[in-house]
Amino acid sequence: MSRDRELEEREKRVFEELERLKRILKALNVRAKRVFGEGR
Amino acid sequence: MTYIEYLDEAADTVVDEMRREHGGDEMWKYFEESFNAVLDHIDESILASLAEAWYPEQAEAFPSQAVTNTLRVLARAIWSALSSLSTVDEKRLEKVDWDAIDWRPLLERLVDFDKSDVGGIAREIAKEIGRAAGVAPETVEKQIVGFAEAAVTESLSYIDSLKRLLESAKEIDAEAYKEILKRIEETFLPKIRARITKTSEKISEANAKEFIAAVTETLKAVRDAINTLTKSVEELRKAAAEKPAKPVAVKPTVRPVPVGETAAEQEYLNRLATKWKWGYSPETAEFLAPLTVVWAVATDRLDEYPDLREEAKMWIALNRFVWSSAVGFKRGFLEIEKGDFEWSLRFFDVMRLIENRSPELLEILARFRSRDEVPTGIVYSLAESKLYEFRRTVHGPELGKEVTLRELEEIISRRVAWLEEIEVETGKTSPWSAGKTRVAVPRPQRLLTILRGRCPVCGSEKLELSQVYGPYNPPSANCAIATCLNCHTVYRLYGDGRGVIAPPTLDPEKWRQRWENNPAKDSKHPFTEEWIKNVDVFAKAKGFSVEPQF
Repeated sequence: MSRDRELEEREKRVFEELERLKRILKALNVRAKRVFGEGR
Repeated sequence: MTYIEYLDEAADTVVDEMRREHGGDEMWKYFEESFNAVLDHIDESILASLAEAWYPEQAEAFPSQAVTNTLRVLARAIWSALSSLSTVDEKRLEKVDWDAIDWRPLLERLVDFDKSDVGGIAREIAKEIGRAAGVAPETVEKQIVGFAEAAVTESLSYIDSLKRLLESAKEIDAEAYKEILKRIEETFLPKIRARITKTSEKISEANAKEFIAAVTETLKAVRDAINTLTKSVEELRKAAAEKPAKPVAVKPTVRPVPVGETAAEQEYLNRLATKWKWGYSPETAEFLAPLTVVWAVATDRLDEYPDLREEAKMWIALNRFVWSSAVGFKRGFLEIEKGDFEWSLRFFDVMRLIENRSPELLEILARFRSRDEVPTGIVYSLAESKLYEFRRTVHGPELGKEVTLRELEEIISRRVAWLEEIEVETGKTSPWSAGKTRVAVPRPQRLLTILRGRCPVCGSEKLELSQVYGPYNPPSANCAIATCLNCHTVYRLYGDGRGVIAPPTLDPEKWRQRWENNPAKDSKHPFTEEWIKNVDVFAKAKGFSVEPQF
């Protein structure tokens, strides 16, 4: 695999993962509200 | 043997398990006291009801196992309840007279809960213990939820900063950028992922104390990453001042087309892939991701696309209506095969509202934040009522026109093409920026500056900033939103500079009632009729238009 291709793939993975982590964190917040917050 | 005869042995097993897990914790003595009190108050009939409700099959065939499992659920829920209460004030647990708690009716109520709903069972137990400890349930709720919200918001902003820093590193020194990327991927991301997994586990266990610790660790992991990266970028900047480096152009990469199960499905996916080019920038990916997830859920392909699994979980966790959409998607395929596009059209409209993070949709969802889920019907009726307006916003000339699926796909593909052509004006340069038209999207921070960090209507600082939604076409529809959690006034700032202040109502009595019933109200800023005047004063001063919600 060429170095450029390797970089492209790594870059794609990192940026996608950061976006994914953001979405998971938001979802965690929603879950936390459901479990610890609402319904009391 | 009766259930109660199994009790002692089962209790020993469960206590031993709990001791192995939590024996060294400061809360252990409170757990022992409370669990023993429960054992003293539980009788044959309650135990049988719980065992039969929670473990109906075992209750008949393996009663001893059913009793052990029932006590295990109770023990874990008691631990969760204690951990929630201890987030407020652990010392208050000292004062509790465990035998004075009315355990019997409490245990009887628990029969109505699903055994997997540890959070629900724990909340019910926490209410009783909280009463005995003099801790109001709302205090506990505010403490935990408020903490989580703040930590997550801060983590999100760190992740955004991380992305900006990465982009700036790339412009300064392409070679160093490669190393930084590697470090992020190999060192920081696994750490952050591990912390998030732990946080998720603690939510599943409804363990508030450890959840808060895990969220704090997550925040720390993201902060560590950004601190380290900031140092690296500063060093690069210093070096670059002496010897400027050339930036490396990176083209967007291509995501493979998913594999369809039937010829019709494959043809459909190929058609989408051709139309949408299936190689996309982050903005387009954002637009397409939910559709892909829904497709994977609808066709039971999550196992084949592990990267979509987490994404699907997130969507499902956020709003269960995606499940309904997934079912609809499956039906959509059938309808497409049959050549009947009517139903599919409606489905696409709903999906589009979701995909575009329509500000109207989000505002409505926000009103339901205190409920367990957003009723699907609301989304559907919203889709119907907003369809006209939505088409106007997104497609201009196609206003109110009925379209075939083929036309709708063309509309979607035009939107995707538009997303590919533009560069959202966020002040960053991305690999996808070159030669694109810049589109202004107001940043939430700008709105916060206009509001001076507090709600101009009620004075509360409990302002919730929403992400920038869009980008929409025309760009004047791009919007940043701030919502006051105390008085429920919504502020919107659009890409063309327009501002809207949307108080819930201008009727003083209705507003007062709304404030009184608001669980997140800020008691430092109670309702006064001045709020109505303040709406007008702010609107005039800042040139915002007033659009009451009701």
